[in-house]
Amino acid sequence: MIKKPHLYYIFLFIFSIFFPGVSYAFSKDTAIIIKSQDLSAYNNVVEGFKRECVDNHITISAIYNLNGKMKVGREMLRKIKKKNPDIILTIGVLATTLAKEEIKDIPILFCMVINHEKFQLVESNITGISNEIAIESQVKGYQTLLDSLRNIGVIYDPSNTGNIIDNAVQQMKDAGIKLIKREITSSKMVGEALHDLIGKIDALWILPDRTVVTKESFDLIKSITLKNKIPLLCTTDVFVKSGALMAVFSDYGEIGRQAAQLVRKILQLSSSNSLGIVYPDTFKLAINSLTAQKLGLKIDTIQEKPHVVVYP
Amino acid sequence: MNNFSIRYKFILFTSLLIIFIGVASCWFFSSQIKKQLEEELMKRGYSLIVQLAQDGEVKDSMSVAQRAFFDEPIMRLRKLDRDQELAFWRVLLVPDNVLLEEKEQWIKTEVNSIPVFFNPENISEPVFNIISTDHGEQFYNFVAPVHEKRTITEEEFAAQIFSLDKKYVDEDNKLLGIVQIGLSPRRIDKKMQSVLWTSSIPLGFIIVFMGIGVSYFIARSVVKPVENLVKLTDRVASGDLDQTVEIRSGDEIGMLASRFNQMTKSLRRLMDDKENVMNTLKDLNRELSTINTELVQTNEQLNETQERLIRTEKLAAVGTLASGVSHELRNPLGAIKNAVFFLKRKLSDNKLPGADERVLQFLDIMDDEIDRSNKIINDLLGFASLAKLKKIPFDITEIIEEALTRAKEIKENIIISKKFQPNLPKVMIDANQMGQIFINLIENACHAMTDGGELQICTRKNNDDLEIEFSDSGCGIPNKEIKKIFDPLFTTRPDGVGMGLAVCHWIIQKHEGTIDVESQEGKGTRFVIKLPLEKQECMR
Repeated sequence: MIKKPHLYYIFLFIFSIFFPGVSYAFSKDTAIIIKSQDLSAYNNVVEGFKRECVDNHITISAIYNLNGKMKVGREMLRKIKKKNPDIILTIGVLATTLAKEEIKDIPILFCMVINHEKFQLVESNITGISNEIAIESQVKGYQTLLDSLRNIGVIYDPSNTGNIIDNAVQQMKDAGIKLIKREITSSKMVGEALHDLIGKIDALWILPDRTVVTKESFDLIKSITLKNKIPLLCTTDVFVKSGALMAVFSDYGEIGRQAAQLVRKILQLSSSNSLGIVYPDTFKLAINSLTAQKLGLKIDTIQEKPHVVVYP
Repeated sequence: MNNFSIRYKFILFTSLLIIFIGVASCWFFSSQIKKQLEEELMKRGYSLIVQLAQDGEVKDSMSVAQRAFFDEPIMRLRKLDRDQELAFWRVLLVPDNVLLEEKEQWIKTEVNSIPVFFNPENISEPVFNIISTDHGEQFYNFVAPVHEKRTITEEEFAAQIFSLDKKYVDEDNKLLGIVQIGLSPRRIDKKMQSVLWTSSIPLGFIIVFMGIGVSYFIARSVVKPVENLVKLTDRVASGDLDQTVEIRSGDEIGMLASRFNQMTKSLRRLMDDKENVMNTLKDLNRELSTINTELVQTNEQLNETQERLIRTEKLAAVGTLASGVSHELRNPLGAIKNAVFFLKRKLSDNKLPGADERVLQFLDIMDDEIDRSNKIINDLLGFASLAKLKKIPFDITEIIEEALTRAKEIKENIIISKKFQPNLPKVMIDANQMGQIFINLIENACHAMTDGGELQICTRKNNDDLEIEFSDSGCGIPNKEIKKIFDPLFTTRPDGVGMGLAVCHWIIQKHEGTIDVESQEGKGTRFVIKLPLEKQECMR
């Protein structure tokens, strides 16, 4: 005679053979995704994360969109906290900072936070994927097209991207490149700083600095650099689409993939809930062919490479 | 200033210029450093005020107007203020409610006396100004608006960065108030003090001292050749034309030295020419002077010879006349004298009736005048008989002594002083005539010393001459007459014929000697006779 409990386990075994999803459901961790707002870039991250979750046995229990509303977001975070997920993926600075404030006992993984150092996102339950590609990788990416780079200019506001610049100076120097800096405190100073750099630099490096990059200032930067045959180097393909020469950027779907893999690692940690801040593990190179043509650069040799995206 | 040397002027003006440049450099250096420090302070201030204004906890605290909630944000702010420049901070809710105002203990100014920014609605971004308090403290004042924490600007920026085509709807941000912080420039002041004493002032001194040193050496290199040139010019001006300037450079100083050498060379040549001309002129002048002297001497000799000739001719004429006339007068005078003698005898023996006593007196006068006339005639005859000399070697002293004994005019009040040089050689002379000369001179001297005096007679050998000197202390001879005393028939004495000195002169001349006279009226007269010994000297 077979006992009832035994029959129960036998039933589960047979069921799991024929219906493996049930088995996974039984063993998967739950994650909640919180987007700061509804941006296509954020959605790409979500899609990438979703795809990778399947292989990493992670269940996405809910996806929240804060729509850029702080008060609403704070209320949402309080509700999410009650759901007690295994991990929270925050996408964007609003979702991340609110989660940091509201949630202290659930692991948080953030991504798509521009200049994350500024927000002091260092807690025992917070892991992050930097939005910036490692400087060394960026230089290598730029040098695939501009192999004679020696002097790179940068305009920045110390209160926004001062930390990035401080780190970048030595790393650029190690890569054989001199970083020529011009500090500004207002977007009105961009033109003056740029004119001061002309003649001293081989290319201009644009960081995601909100004092430097505005709609008006970007147009000004674009026209002046093009007029003076100065390649414009960026950290997002959006600017390449708008006319910058090239950008070393992270693919947002890949960020989602990396986030899912990190979630798995975080959940497997025994003593801590944080892996610190990591750089994206892959990057892409965006090139504007029209701008390259205007600057007299040939992209034939590199445009066929898999990580290169050519616009338009 | 015009009397100062070029070196002094150069060093003075160059030093002043360098001091000015040094001071200006220090001032510029210090002001640039201060400006740089101020800019850095401003950046730090802007960074701090922006951090404070964007701090979510600050926004929340301002939303609920809870002062106690600012502890954490202020603590974070003070941590960020690594250089401890933060002096005070203030939170102001709209419209004008001061929610928080605090200060560091080390500032003297009370925080409530620091001006409050009361127009938060008027600023949209951080502003900055410098405020000074009654305590003399100065603060770099930063003010920034604080808006409600509805959303965060970074998310807006993210929308821009990640999706440029998306239009982010910027809803109204409610202004909560302002935050204000003040940074003290004390670190700048300390730094400036440090810069001033460790960099600016030493740098200024170095510039000044180096500048003065450099200007001294430049002045020395420029002025020294000029000074040398001046010294050489002085030497050239004092007549040393052998001076040349050493040419060491091809610049203007070198050109000047070259021209100077050329000039001295030309001057030396001209001076040589001038000296030659002067020497020639001196020689000519000397020759002319010699010729002139010779001419004067010749003229004097001619005059003297002429005078002697005239005198000789006169004497000859007088002699001829005397010899003729004397014979013719002597006989009548003799007859007259005899007649007078007869008349005097008769009258003295037998007095004639009616004869006057004065007749005898007149006869005496006639007799005297006849004697005098005879004397004159005898003199004239004696002069006429002097034609031939009978010269034999004779001791001149003996002749003088004899003449002194024969002279009639020597009175008792006249002192005769004799200074005869012993062992004088004998001379070839006519002793009678020479004795007559000496008698004439002695009697003339005695006659001149009517009130007594001294007659000094000296003899001496002088080179090839024998000199005999007769000096009296008589009345002397007037200058206008002294040239005429040797002329025949010139006399100042009423009883004289005027033949004595003329005869003396004539006799001396016959002996190839000379007779000279010197006289001062009232002091005396001195006659010097020189007789040549060369031809006349005999063995003693």
